[in-house]
Amino acid sequence: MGWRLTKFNLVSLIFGFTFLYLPITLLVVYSFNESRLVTVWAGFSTVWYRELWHNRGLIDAAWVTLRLALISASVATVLGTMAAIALSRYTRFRGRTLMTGMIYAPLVMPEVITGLSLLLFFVAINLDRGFLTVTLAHISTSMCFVAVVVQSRLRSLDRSLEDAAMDLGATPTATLFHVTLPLIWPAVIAGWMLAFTLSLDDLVIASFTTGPGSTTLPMKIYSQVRLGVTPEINAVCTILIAIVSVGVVAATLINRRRMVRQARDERLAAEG
Amino acid sequence: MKSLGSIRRDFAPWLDQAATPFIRFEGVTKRFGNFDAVDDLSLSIFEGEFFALLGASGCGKSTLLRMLAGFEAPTEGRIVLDGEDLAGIPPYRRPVNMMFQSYALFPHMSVEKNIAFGLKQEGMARGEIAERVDQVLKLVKLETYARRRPDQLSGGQRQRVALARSLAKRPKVLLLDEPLGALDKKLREETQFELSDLQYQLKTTFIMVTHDQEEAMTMADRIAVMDKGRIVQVATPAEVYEAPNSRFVADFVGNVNIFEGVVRSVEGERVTIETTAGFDVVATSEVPVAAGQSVSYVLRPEKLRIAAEPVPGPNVVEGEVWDIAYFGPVTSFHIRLNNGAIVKVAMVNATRQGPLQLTWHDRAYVQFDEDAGLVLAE
Amino acid sequence: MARSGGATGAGARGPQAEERAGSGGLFRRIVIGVPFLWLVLLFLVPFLIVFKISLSQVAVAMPPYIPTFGDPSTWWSALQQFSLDNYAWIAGDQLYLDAYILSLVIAATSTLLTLLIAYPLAYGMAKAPSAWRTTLLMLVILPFWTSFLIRVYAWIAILKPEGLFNQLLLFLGLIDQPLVILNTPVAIFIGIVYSYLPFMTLPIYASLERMDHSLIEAAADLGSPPLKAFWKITFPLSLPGVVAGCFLVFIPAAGEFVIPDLLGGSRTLMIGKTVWLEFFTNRDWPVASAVAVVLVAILVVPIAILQRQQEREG
Repeated sequence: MGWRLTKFNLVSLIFGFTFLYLPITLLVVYSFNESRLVTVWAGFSTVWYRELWHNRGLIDAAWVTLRLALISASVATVLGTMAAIALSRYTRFRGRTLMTGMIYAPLVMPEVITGLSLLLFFVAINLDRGFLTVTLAHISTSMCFVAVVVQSRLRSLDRSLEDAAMDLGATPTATLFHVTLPLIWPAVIAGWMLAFTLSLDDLVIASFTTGPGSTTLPMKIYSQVRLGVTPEINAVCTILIAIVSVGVVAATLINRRRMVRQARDERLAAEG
Repeated sequence: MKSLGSIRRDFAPWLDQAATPFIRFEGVTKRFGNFDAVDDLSLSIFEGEFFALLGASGCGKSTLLRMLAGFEAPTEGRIVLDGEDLAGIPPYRRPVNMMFQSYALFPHMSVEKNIAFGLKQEGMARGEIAERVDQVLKLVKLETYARRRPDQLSGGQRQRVALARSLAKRPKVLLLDEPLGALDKKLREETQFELSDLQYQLKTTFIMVTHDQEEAMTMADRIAVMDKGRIVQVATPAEVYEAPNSRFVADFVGNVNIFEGVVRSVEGERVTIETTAGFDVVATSEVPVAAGQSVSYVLRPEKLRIAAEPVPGPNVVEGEVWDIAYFGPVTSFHIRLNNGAIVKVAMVNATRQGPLQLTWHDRAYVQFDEDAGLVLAE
Repeated sequence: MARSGGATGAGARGPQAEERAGSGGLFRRIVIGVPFLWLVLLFLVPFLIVFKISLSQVAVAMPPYIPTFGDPSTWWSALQQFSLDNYAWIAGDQLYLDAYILSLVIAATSTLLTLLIAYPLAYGMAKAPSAWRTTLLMLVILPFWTSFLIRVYAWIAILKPEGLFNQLLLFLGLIDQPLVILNTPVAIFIGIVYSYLPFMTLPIYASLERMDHSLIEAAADLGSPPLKAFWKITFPLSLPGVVAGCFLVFIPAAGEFVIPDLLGGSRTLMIGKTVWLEFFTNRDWPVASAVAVVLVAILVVPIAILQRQQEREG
């Protein structure tokens, strides 16, 4: 391959990752800026975090968002897992093609359209906009992401494990609970995490489908961002980034520990 | 029947006209779209038999096994086990168990939980389950590994856990899908004998699917050779090798010379065949043939002899040493005849020097007895 | 289905066993039925309602359109009020046409730019020592878990006239007046490339990583220099990943709202924002619906191509 190409690879990596991380890093750094002017560094301070604590509107919005994310992610995980099982295990039923389409289309559908259609639906059935409607909306979009994650795991699962369970006398339902679900559990958890962050993140669909009293954090951030960049928003964003990073890093570490254990097991197996 | 391959068999219910088959496939067809995986197949298997389905991949042997297990339903025909028609009975209610090619051990359960899984589904009492688990673990010599998880076991140990798990429910029939396919050669040879012994000890009917003829021949009482969804021959290992009923079987099992020809004369059992390879064969035929009939003459390489000097008599062919391959127990020679045909000869190396000294391009004389080969009229 | 080679029939396995399972019947019906009904009710029906409203007229009422289907006796006359007026309106107004074209152009351009950055990154990752790969992969995915809004917001502080980028350039003496980047299409490109980079990188990385390295060695062995080997072997084999990545960026980018709204300013009007404005500012729900229906009609083709490709890959 030669030295030149390797150098090229290294440069691509450095450039790519700088591009990915520099903006976020700057945002975090400036959340600790003393000055209200976001672009002038005036010394380290946690003043904006203390400010946050007194901002009732933001704290309420954060609380709404957290509840929304927890509820919608959990329901979406159940529904999405069911959909994934339906599509990859109960392969023959009427409407299977329609269901596949309804799972995949929302993944790429512009959010503006999803939001608009859900809002018009809630108006048509006379359902007042509020926490319930935004929760329903988030479940509908997140469940598709969960379904795709779980389905890809189901697809790679060795089918003979389920055949073996049935061969040993387990009914299809018993097989699902004793063999299939325990084996796809990591994918179900990953699906839940994805649904949780999608809900935490969503601005457009929430703007369409929520009502008074249920303003979410992204909506709050959005309305303030439109007025200009403030260190207070930087502080909120930093907290959100910290929460998500801790979650992802923890998940990775747990995963790594499992891999280490597996490596140890394999050594044990080799020794007999 | 004459003895073949130096073996006398005492257990041969298939020869007993009065014996009732334990498993019957009756006109079974399995179609996937336009493809006939199994094509109008009928077969009887007897209680206590170790039966092998042998064939290349795609011949329908696995589909046949999966139909017996209940994972596939026959498109036509029926499968009867111990007098009961299996149609409509789901896999989890059939008195058969399967050992999967990939072993399919549940990775989230310990060895004992894996083995207990089927017993729990039956609703067996806890104490009884523990007792049965101990018993089968002892059977496969894994008593000390009960609490390990599958990924803490070696390949051979996993294979034995899979075997133990499928035996734990004491099935009427044990199905084995390529049971030794994932083991390395040395371990495979040892396990072949262990599995045979185990079957002899348990007297359970075993049905094994394999593409490995050596595996089938070592372990099975009878072998069904399959091709394109049909059974070509059902016979004991020695019969399949020494008395194949078709060119396909002769060619599929072991190494072989096949000479095409036309019968020139018939004197009782003794026939003379003029082969397309440019020489005449004098042979005893077990099947009746008539002069002018096209036949194949099938000759295993180890049943020919090779000499450096001309020898008298019929069934002597002259040619040039074209290729030599040394295998250890035997040395294989390819002799090229004047018209370009190749005759394969295997010489047993009974001494370290070997029976003769030949090199490439030497003249050589190949000789065989009148009953060395088999006349196939097709 | 490659596992079974199809010929043994194991590929078409299973359903009989399921269908015969009497005890699994009710459970099976729930597992299929509940998510199915949910999706019909909260995805399909809402979309049909959008379509229906796109054929209606705006009205000063709640809901702000007619006809509505209240009393069944008036349904027939209500049905007769449907018209294609909103579509004619969209077609007749240059503003909408411009917005559609601008959306597609911006989406296409930023897709290309994303590809140009993502490909070397994915290539570098795939060629990195295997011990690094998991970490690098996690580093690409990590920003994706943080809020989309936050990532867009971060760029405002960088790109605005008195922002960090201009300060850096001024400090280096490369410019003597701040560049106007924020509120231009350039800012939108940066925002889209930044936000969608993982969507492009991951499929390309997946197809590169799966590639057998001995293919390159074979090419070299047969006398092909590295660059040519890349162009003749590596690139064609990574095409499925490139295609998937392009669609995964292009489709949502065409309907993007937040990025053009925050980074593009009021003069660059993309179609996602048009829907938003018609709905929230003009309160013209029928026209907003018609704009949305047309956007979906435009995106149906790339969505279908993407789906077919995903199915083939899966």
